[in-house]
Amino acid sequence: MRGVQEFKPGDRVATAGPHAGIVSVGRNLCARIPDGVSFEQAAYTSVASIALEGVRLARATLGERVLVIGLGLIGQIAVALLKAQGCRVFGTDVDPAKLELAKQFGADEVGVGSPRDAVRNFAGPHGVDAVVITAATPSNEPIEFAADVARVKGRVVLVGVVGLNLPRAPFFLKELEFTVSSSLGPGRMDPQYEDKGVDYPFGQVRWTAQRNMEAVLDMIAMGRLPVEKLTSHRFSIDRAAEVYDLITQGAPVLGAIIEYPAAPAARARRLDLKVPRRSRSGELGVSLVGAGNYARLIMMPALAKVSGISWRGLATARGMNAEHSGRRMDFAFATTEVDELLRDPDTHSVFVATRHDLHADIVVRCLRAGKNVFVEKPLCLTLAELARIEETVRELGDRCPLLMVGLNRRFAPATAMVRDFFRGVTPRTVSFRFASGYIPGGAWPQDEDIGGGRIVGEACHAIDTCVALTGSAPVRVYAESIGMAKGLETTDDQVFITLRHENGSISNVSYQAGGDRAAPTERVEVFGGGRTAFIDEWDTVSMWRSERLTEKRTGKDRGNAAGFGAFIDACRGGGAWPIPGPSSGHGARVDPRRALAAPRRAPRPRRRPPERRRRRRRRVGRAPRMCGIAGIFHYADPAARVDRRALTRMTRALAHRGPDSEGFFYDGNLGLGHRRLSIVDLSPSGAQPMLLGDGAHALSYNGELYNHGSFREGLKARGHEFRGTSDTETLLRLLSERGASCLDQLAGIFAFAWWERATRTLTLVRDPLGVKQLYVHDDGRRVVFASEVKALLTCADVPRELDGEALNQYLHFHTPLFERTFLRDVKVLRAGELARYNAGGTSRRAYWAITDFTPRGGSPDENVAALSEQLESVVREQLMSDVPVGSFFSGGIDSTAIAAYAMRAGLRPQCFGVHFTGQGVIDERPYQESAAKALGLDLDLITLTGESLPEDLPRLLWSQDQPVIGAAMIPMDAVARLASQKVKVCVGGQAADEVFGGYARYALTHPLDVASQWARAPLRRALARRGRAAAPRDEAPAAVGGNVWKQFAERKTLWRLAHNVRQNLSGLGDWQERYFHHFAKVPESMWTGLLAAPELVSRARCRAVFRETLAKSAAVDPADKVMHWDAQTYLTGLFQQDDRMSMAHSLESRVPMADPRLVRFAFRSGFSMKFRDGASKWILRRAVADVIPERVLNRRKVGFDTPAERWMRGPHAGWVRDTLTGGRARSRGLWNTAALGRLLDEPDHPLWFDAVWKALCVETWARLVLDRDGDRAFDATSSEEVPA
Amino acid sequence: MQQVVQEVRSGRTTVREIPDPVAGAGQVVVASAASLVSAGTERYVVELARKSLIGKARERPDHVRRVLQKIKQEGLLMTAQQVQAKLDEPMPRGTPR
Repeated sequence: MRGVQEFKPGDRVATAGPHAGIVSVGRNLCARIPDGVSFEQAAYTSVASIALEGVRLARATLGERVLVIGLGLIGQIAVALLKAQGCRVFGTDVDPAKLELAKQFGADEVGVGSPRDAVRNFAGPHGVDAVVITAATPSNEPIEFAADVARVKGRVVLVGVVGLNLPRAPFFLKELEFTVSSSLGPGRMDPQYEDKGVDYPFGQVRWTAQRNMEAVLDMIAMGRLPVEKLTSHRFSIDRAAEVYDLITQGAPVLGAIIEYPAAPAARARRLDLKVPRRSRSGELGVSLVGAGNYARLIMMPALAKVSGISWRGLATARGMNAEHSGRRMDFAFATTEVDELLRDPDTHSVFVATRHDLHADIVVRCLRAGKNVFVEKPLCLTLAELARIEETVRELGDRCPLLMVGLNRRFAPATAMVRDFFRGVTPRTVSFRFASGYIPGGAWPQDEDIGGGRIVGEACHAIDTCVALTGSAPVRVYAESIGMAKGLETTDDQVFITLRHENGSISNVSYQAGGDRAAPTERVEVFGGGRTAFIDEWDTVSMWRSERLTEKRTGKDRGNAAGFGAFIDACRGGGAWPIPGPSSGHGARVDPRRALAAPRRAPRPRRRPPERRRRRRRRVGRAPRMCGIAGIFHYADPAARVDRRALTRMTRALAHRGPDSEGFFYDGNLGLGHRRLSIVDLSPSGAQPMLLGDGAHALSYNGELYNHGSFREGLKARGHEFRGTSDTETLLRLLSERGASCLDQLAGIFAFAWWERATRTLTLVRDPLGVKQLYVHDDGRRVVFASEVKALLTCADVPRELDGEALNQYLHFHTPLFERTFLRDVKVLRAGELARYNAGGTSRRAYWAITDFTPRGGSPDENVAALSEQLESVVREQLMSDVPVGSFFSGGIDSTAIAAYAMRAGLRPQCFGVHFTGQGVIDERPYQESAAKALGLDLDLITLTGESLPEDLPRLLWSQDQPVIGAAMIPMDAVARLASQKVKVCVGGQAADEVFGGYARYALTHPLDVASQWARAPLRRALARRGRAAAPRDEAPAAVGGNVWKQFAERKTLWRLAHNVRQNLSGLGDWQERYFHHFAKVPESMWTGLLAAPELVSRARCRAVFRETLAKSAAVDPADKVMHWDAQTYLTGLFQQDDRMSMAHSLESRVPMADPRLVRFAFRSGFSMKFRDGASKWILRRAVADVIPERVLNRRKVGFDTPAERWMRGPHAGWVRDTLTGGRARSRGLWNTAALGRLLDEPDHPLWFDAVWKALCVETWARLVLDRDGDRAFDATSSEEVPA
Repeated sequence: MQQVVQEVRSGRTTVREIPDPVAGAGQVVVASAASLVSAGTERYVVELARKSLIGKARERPDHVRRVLQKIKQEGLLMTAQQVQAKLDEPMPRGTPR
């Protein structure tokens, strides 16, 4: 009595059930028996209701004359009901014996056969108002008789079964109404009403089957329906068969009552069909739930062929089927209770072939009972059910029995053939046309609660076949069904489903219920690797390769037998699941619903307490995004698992980049780590690694995307629902939608790792100019990567071998070039490069490059105006922030200009500067103070004395990961530490010299041009000085200082020029050579003398790289070529230094001058805009002329010049000598320590500092990294506990 | 419990011992005291069942059309098996139609 409230045990009820000792009927086919009505009387309820329904349809009203044809049980009752209705009734029957009884039931007149005249006399000249036919005969006579005697517009209702050749003439002439009554009344034959117990609203449908039953029971109770008079025979149930014999023998049976003994209290739901015996050893006891078509026609015959199986129990909802099929198939017992199977100790495995809605529940019960389960598709109907099954499997763990879904097509010989044919081809394209034909909307397969609809219930076959043929689980799905139209009951059985698989394959399922049933139903097409295969009706396999066709026949084998075989084998062998199940993480393979909804992953636990998140969520705007990223990917080993401890160690080595929290993402052979500053994320929706589609895409991102706002509207319009406001999310959504093709439109500084689960591809990307770094170690099967080299060094298996060529390049160019680092086995992504890793291998490509050097044209003033506008918008964009922004402040043009633009954007950046007052170098302090004063900005200054150089150098080199650029790291470190005490973000003028041509060395490419400018410049300046008093400031002539030649006027520079000329007289006319020699200050001979292995140093190799790079550049103008070189080499080194020195203090350094838009602009400005009137960076000077004070504008370029040389010669000379000539240096095998000693003794050597500084840095680095001093001194992870 | 069952193929009606039914959702399990065999209706059904296959086919042309369609789609063998199985299926007696 499940879910039924209206009846209670012990109630007396009449039902419309079968002749059985115990019946199970729907609540709506049940009516309470009133007191005073016996069971025998109540047994007439069904037939009486049938009669009542016929009478109701006849719409007989008081006074009408009605003919009843056929006076069996129903006819007699109809007579009585019509009389009760106030009608005059004429009854006829072929059997005269029935007539007397009819009179007792109230018939006014009766007649034998078809007494037309008597009826006409009875009814009068117009004929009878209605006819109720309650006869059962194949003859057409009752219909003809009825038509003949009915009046015009009379009603004829057929309740019984008679011949149905309607005579047209009388029906036409009288316009007769003919109705066939359906059994007990409304609700009968409606599964919603009968099986689901859904009643029709009383007010809308007054009379239903059940209410008719109640009405006749009431009539019986009132004594107006003497049904007991109809009983002619009584039999006990044991002898019930005799009734049928009597009936068929033509005996005069009217109402035969079958009587049942009182039912025993205990339910007998198990029926032994054989003498119970223990199963023989080695036999596999198999039970079955369900005995429908599939079970009887496919499952049982196929399993019957498997030897060593013994059939145990057969369970069905209706015991009759269990008993019948159970006997036929030689089952040991039949039952109506699944639990009987589960209790049976000899049942090892259970096959489930019930209605779809019962699958999930039975599967779970079987698994919990320790039985292997083979369940006919679909596994379940809802995600909730799937979750329950998955949970069960997880919970049972190793004890979980086998579970297999009857997705048989993957076992078809055709599938195996095609899979074999496409071996080694990935990805593949599969198209599956499944034209299943129409099924009415009301049928159970269409019922979402019972059959699950045809997609879940049947198209799952096609989806699984696609999985089998692509060899990869689906990760993404799109589907469209046809639109609604008149006459269409169902729209979701005419669909196109598109799947994206993990390995990059795609498939399409065309499920068609709208076609002709006679047409072929199933066709599969597979493409890839220059091969094509078709499977038609699982009968014909056509395979093309190299223009040759091979055809095979497979005899309509859909793989049923093979599928059962695989299951039985697995049961016997105790082996792996034949179809990987939910425990393998590929739930998609077993359930189509799962394939139609993105696989879900449990949300990652969040580390921050909720109240803290709430507080932060209120803040919006651009905050610092600096982060550290790390990861491990075993790209060549899909089965490998990431060592979580190793990744945790790597990530923690980046703690300074994001001191507050960390996040991890694992997907099998991939792991991503992320460190962030809590302020990075203004809402929890920005947590990283960030996932999309529950992990279909993952992103571990470090950086800042300046133009991300410009993509958001478009993404929203295309259906993306943003969870937060972070640029990380914008980037992730952009990548998920457009892949790597979006990269060249990004303006920003970043390095990130992007994971696409569909293809199991990891993509590492570095920003266009290389402001952020990403280091990788790739051993050919596994890649480990991180924002800093020191994170990679936490992996024990990253070799620590010096890259000799990197050293050579550093000695010449102040930085290893392109992908090189000081470690042979650690590479850095090139600027504007992406690297992809997947099972197919690795690839790298540039997505961004400076290719357009064509001068824009236009007047100088137009160019200046354009830059000014661009600069202002870039700085504004980068500085918009709700957190305090500071400004590195040297007092020079670049940093002052940035600070000035920041003020224009409405900010008052706190400025931070460093100076070396009183240490023999140019004192910056007066410039800094006067510039800050002119702008009205607060300035914090720090004085560096160099006292702690021996302690600082190792710390800085460890932070920096390797020697690169010059001693500027010392002041940068100091100013970053100063700034970090007050702000989290600092902007500066870095990169302006490289981008806009601030270095005098660029003039070497156009010596005559610059010389003539220089000659003319003083005159112009004199004119300008005179004119400035009168003219408005912005009208002032372009006489803006920055005298190039002053830079060359220094003693050292002159010496170097002379030296180069001496050494390379022949190359003097070649601008490339001039530039190369200027850049690579220290001559080759000097280095070869200082090194133990002279072959390490090769000027020729460096020259070759330099010339080759210049040749590859699309630039034409020599100045553009060398600046392009600098942007690709020197500038990336500068950015590395900038990143490491600021990040070491958890400070984000922003470099507006290196915004890709500005860089593109600058490279289209031409030499004439950069060097003009004897001034370098001319266009920038002019553009910022109206925002910065004149005395700043016209001061000489200084840069971060340091007194490091003085410190090394003076107070720390001993330390320098010890370092370079001591025992450790001697035993390193790298140095000619004697030569180094001699150099140290020669303090007047013009290249003393250049050589000694580099040697000092290299030796210190070698101690930190190669000798592992750094691990001991600075390893951030050693103090933190690393979880298992 | 006992139930009156008819074999479609032979038309033979027997009383068989079968497992007690279980109440599904919205169902009521009832122990029977008495049930009624309506002779006229049942005579017709029994007569149909006792007809030869051709007689049955003539009586139910709608079923024949379905069988022909099935042969086209699933092949003769499969259809024959299904029809045979259907004919073997026991029919409960007594449910009013």
